[in-house]
Parts: sequence; C-alpha cells; structure tokens
Amino acid sequence: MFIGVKTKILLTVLAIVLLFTIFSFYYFPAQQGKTLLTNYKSEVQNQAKTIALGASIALSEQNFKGLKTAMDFVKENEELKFVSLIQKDTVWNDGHTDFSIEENILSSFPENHSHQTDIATNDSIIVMKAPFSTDIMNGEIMLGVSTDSINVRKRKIRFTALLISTAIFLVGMLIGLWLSRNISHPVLALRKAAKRVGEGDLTSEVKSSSKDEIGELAIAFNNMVKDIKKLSDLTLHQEKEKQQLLASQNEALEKQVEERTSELRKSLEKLQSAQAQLVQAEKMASLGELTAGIAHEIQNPLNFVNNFSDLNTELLDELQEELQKGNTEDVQQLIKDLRENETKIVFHGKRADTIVKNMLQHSRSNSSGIKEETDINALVDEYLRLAYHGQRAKNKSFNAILKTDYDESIGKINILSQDIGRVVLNLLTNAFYIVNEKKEMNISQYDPTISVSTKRKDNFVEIRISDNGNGIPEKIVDKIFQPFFTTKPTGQGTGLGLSLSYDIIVKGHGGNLSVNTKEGEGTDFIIQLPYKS
Amino acid sequence: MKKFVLPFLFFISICSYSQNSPLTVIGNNNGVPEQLSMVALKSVMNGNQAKWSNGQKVVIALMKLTTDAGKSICSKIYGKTAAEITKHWLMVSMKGAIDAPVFFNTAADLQNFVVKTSGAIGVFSGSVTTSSAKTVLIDGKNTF
Ligand SMILES: Nc1ncnc2c1ncn2[C@@H]1O[C@H](COP(=O)(O)OP(=O)(O)OP(=O)(O)O)[C@@H](O)[C@H]1O
Ligand SMILES: [Mg+2]
Repeated sequence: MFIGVKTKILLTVLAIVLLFTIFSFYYFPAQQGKTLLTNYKSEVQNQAKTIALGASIALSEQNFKGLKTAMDFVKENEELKFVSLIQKDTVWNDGHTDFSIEENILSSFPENHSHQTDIATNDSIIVMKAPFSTDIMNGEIMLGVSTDSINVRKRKIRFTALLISTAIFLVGMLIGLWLSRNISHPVLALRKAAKRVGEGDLTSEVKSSSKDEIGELAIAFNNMVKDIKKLSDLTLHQEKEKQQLLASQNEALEKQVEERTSELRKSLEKLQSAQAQLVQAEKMASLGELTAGIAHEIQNPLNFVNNFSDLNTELLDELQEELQKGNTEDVQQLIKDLRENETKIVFHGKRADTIVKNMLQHSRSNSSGIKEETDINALVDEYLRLAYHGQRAKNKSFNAILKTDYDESIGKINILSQDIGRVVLNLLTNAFYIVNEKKEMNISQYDPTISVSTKRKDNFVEIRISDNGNGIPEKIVDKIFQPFFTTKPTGQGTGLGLSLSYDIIVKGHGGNLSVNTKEGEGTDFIIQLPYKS
Repeated sequence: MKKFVLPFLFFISICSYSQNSPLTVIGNNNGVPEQLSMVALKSVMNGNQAKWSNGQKVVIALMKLTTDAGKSICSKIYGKTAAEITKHWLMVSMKGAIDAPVFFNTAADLQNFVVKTSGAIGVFSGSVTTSSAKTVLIDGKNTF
C-alpha cells in the first residue's frame, strides 16, 4: 500500500494531537478534579480543626470568641451541610475496670439537623472530623460539606478542558496541514519534476523557497537537471555535428561519384565511339582485303571480256573478209565462234557484276541484321577465293596449297551471311598471314597449306579452317579472343578480328568458336553453327 | 494542655464550694432594662433571650467562672458546675443563634466592656466604679 509523505506527516501530527487532546480532555480534568477534591477536603479538614481548636479554647478558657469566628467563617460556606460537636464520654464500669465510649451529638448546625456519628465521605458529601480534648470534655467536631460546588467546578474544568482540547486539536490539525503541505509540497514538486526529467523533459525546474534540507535538495536537483541538460545538449550538438559532417561527406562523395560517373560516361562514350570507329576501321580493313580479291576477281572476267572482245573484233574483221570472198562455210564457222565468245563475254560480265554486287553487299553488312537461308559451302568457298586473291594481291610471289572438303549434305542454314562471311574472311586472312610469315622464314620443304572443310553434325554445322603455320604460343592462346590483342606490328592489325568473330558466332548465332593449336605445326579454328538459332 | 489541667480542676472545685460573693448586675444604657426579676435574669443568662425590648442584641458579660465571682455566678444564677455551663454555652454558640458570654478576669474590665458595648449586661461582684452604666436591679435589689 502506498502512503504519501503528506498522509504520513498528517497521520503523525494527528496521532500527536490526539494524544494531547486525550491528555487535555481526560487526564488533565481528572487530575484537576482530584486535586480540587483533595484541596477541598483539606480545607474542610482545616475548618473542622479550627472549630475544634475554638471549641477547646472556649471550653478551657471560657473564651468563645474564636469558636464564634470559626463558626461564622464555616457558615459562610454555602455548601455546608452540617457542623456537629460530638461529645465522647468515657464511661467506666462500677469496679472501674473497664470502660466504654459513649458518643453523643451535643450540638449541630443547622438546627434540627440530625445524622449518624458514623456518616462518611461519599460522592455527594465530604465529612471531616477534628478531635479536641479538654478537662471538661473530649470530643470531635464533624463537618459535612456538599460536593456540589466541586462537581460544578469539575464540570467547568471539563468544559474548559473540552474547549482547550478542541482548540489544541484544531490548532494541531492546522499545524499538521501546514507542515504536511510545507514538507510534502516541495517533495511532491520534486517527484513531479523527477518524473518529467525521466520522461525526457529537461526544462523542468523545482521552485522551492523552503530554507531546509528539502530546499537544498531542490537546489541540488535543479543543478543536476541543468548538468544533465548541458550534457545532453552537448551530446546532441556533437551528434548534430557528426550528422552534418556525415551529410556533407555524403554530399561530397555523391558529387565525386557523380563526377566520376559522368567522367566514366564520357570516357565510355569516347570508348564506344572509338570502338565504333575501330569497328568501322576493321570493316574498312577487311574491305581492303576484299578489294584486293575483288580486283583480281573482276580483273579475271574483265580480261576475259577484253580478250574475247579483242578476239571478236579480229573475228569480225575476218568475217568481213570472208563475206566479201563469199566463203559461206567459213562465215558460218566465224559466226559460231563469235557467238561462243559472246557467250563467254556475257558470262564473265555477269560474273563481274555478281562480284561488284557482293562487294556492295559486304560494305552494307550489319545494316539489315536479317538472317537468311544461306548455302554455307558456297559462302565459304567464295570467301576462300577472295581471301587467297587478297593475299596474292599483296604479295605476288605468294603461293599456297588450298584444300577444300565440303559436306554437300549440309543444305541451307539460316544465318547472317555477310557476318559469317566476315568471320570466315578473318580466320582465312589470319591463316594466310601466318603461313606467309612462315614461308618468308625460308624453311626448306615448306608448302603453305590452307584447308577448309564443312561438316554436318547432329544439330549444327562445323566449319574448320586449318593452316600449317607456326601455331599460337601457349602464353597468348587465352588472349587471342580479347579485343585489341594483336601480335602484328603496329599499324598492321587492330586485334579486333577474332574478338568480332567470336561475338558474331557466339552472340549473333548462338554457336561456338574454338581453337586447336600446336606450336610450330599449325592451327585449327572451328566454327560451330546451330541449325536453329 | 496538661499545664492547665491541675489549675482547672482546682478552680472548678473552688467554683463549687465558694459561692458566697454578692453579685451585682450592671447594664449598658442602650437596651438593657432598669430592673429584672431573678427568673428573667436566669433566662437571659441561659441565652434564651436574643434581643432587648428595643431590638438591641443581648450581649452577656460574666466574671470568669474560676474567679470567686464566677463561682457565685455558677451557683446563684445557673445552679450548675462551671463545666456544665461551659458545655451549655459551647452548644449554644455552635448553633450561633445567641453569642456566648464574654468572660472577664477583673470587675473593672467587665464594667469597662459593659459601658462600651450596646445591649451588654454584666454580672460581677464588688462595687460599681463607673457612672456610665446603670445598675440593674434584680428583684428590686442592687446585689444578691
Ligand atoms: N592461324 C593463326 N596462326 C597463328 N596465330 C594466329 C592465327 N590467327 C590469329 N593468330 C594470332 O592471333 C592474333 C589476333 O588475331 P586477330 O585476327 O584477332 O588480329 P590480327 O590478325 O592481329 O589483326 P586484324 O585481324 O585486326 O588485322 C594475331 O595477331 C595472331 O598473333
Ligand atoms: Mg586477323
């Protein structure tokens, strides 16, 4: 059970006040009454004694003045019930051997009052006796006084006590209230403030004007709260500073990141444009390879066309002569030759036309991006010839054995023909380059050989391009598919050929491009193209 | 007290036996009559009369009962022993209706008292030395 300070103080004060009240209400009047009674009794006793003295003087000296004065004095007492003089005579027996005491009420006041000699003090009356002894007689004075006045005075005392105890009670309670307020008020205020502080309100302050321990406690409490507030403010401030620092650092970081990102983006853009340029350059390079081949290819039919045109011009001259001679048989033969030559001119013209168209197609490559049914064998063969003639265009003395083995069962396959053509061209260009390089090393008994084969497998077509060059050193074999990796002298190779080829086969067609090589013996590049891609 | 016991006994015996001193009654001029009968005197002396005819309070003055005059008073007026008279007056004065007699050792003192006290009546033996009080005749006699 919780009993507050206020209640405790109040209860304590109440207990004290009640004690005082009980004391002043019961003990004090009882004691007073007792004292009063005792005093009154002794007063009455004194009066009795005075009368007894007066009586003894009156008897022995025949001087009744003192007795009269004493009697007058006693009679003034309104409470007087009676005054009696009891004569005690000693009566001896005849032989004077034994005696008895005869008591005889000689006189009493008021007149006609009668009572027994053995009347004793009780609640309503106080009876006091005083003996006297003279030659004339022995006896005692008996005084009876009513207790009424004492009872009245007792009642008065009790009433006064009631008043006083009520006053004590009231004043005590007031003091108790004041005390409990005075003590509990600041304590309660302290408790309230402490609670508020506990809830985090550091502005709460206790107002205490009392100059005692509680006042000191309040001051100490206020100081403590101030200290806590200072500390928490400091902590908060530090926290804020930290956060601000963090925020500014964050901002700076973000800025840096942004800057870096934009820088990166820029460099990426640059790189992308560079790559695009490089890709374009690669394209142009392979176009260059092609051009050499194409030039040769076109040269060939053109030679045919020119030769046969020249031949036809000669034949036309002969025909004119024979017509003038009228030699019909010869004319007929000449026309036949002319027609044959004309057919060859048309054939070779058409061939040139096809070559040019192909070249155009090559330069337009990647633009369409639409796969078409393509005869792989024809494609590979065409690019083999283009590559070979390209190589020969660069180096007139170059010669190589070309071996082909085409699987006729392949049929047509859905591919980006220009892209696959470029892959084949790249691989062949690399092969011709490497065998040419080996050839130029003047190794005896070396015949540069390039083999191209196609083979139908379960789900895919395999194109194998092999050379008998020096192979790829083990150290670099892992790197050859990386973009820009080249062993060629600066300016001769971009190092993009295999990288682009890999992309075309793997990403563009879902196929596979792998390499088998043996140093000093040669290299096999294997293209695997799925039927359905 | 014991000091007084023997002389008391002695006085009382004297009082009982010598009763021959002639007694004179004097009275204060205020209230006390010129003459009284013996019966009236005895009644006054026993305290039966509180006031004189003019309303003046009766005050009794007597010679001490132990003196010769006192002894005469015992026998001639009261016919009782000194102790009995004392007891009687003790009772009377306890009731307070009438004052007890005032006792004197000398006649001069007694006469002086009677002169000065209104309504006072005194009994003594010897000659009257004052003119300011009257001699009350008892049964027509100055002395008895
Ligand atoms: N058949 C091969 N035999 C030996 N080495 C080869 C062969 N094919 C490629 N390599 C090596 O791989 C490298 C990369 O070839 P890639 O075709 O990617 O670039 P490149 O031929 O050097 O230059 P680019 O093709 O752009 O003119 C070559 O430099 C070469 O060292
Ligand atoms: Mg290459």
